[in-house]
Amino acid sequence: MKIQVLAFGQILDITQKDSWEEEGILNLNQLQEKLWNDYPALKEISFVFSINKQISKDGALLSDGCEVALLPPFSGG
Amino acid sequence: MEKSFKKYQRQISLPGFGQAKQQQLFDAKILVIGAGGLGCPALLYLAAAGVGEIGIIDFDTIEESNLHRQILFEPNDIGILKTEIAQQKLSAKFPDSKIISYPFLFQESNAFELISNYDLVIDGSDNFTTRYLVDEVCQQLNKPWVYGSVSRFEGQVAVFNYPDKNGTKSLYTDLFPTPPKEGSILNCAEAGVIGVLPGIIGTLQANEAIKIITGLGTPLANKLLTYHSLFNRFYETKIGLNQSEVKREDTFENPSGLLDNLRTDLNELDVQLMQLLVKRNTLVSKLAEPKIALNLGLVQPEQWKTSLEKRLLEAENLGISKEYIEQIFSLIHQESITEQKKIYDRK
Repeated sequence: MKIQVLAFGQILDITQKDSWEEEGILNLNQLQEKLWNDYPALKEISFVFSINKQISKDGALLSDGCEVALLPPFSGG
Repeated sequence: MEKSFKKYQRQISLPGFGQAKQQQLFDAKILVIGAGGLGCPALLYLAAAGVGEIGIIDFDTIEESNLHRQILFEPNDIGILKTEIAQQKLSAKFPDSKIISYPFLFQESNAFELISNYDLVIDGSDNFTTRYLVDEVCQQLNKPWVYGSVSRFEGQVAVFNYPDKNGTKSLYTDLFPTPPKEGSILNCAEAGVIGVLPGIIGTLQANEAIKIITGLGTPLANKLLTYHSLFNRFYETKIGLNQSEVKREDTFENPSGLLDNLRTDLNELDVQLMQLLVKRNTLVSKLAEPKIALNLGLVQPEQWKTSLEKRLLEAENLGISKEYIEQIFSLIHQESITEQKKIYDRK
């Protein structure tokens, strides 16, 4: 099962890529674990997940081909 | 001074606008928090559109490093209060708007009184303390507010505490329930910013405010819009619970309604399952031609064994009974053979 991950704001500064594929991830908890493992700096940033353009809760299930956006709050004004 | 519609003719002539919408703008009272990178363009366009009363709150004075993005200010203004210069320039440029300046910090002690005097708030601040306070006070006073913020080459815009087409409202706290760790999310001074970006985001905020005042179009209620200026990526995502979750919460005290809703959801899911099975049949039929071309038999027991093993492994990961999955896939396998046999028989 493949999903597409999109990065925004400071997340993008850390991952250095705005979108990529992940395989074999079944829910948001697993995705968070994977992201923290690949990019430890993400542990310091608060962000929310959006699945197929809908903000989603922790643990939500993912489906094949879905798109998960990582959205941190912005602060500049 | 009597306001003339003539000055606004080019927007009045828009379809659905007319003098009635212009009058709504003349009657509108908007509070802009922060006269910075977002506030400056928002203020300019709101006043230009003829918004009747605009309040500006900012405690800060103008610095040289503000000038590349805070487009109301010029070198001679350095060291002077932002609200003072903003009021002077906007009043001179747009005499139809009454501009009120509040040269102090927006905080708990004044937030309630300030916001209660206005129809709508635009937040152009650069910190989470202000943002969460705006959210809380707007909720208490039942006022809509337009959020905007930037991070390097990206910006976010949203409309909070304003009903969407289904009557659902969301707050900033529905999107980001808790403030981030102090210092973890950078502001413009720390992260850097290109001037045109807050220009775009502040202008989008002004546009949302005008839409809310006039009732034109669809404001970004229950949605978060993110814009990336380097890739021109506009990304819109819905905030809040999805419809089935809303239904469930609403009907929790009403078991028969809850049962109906759950059954409706199940029906929908069953239809989706069947649609997937149809899709699967179509795909499976396509296997027949190349198999015939390669002189392969209709049934490939090894192939079936391997894919069933994979399914069972996945079943274990997903926490669903293996026996159940094996039974279902045996049926699906039978159906695959039936579908392919139709093509084999034709050859």
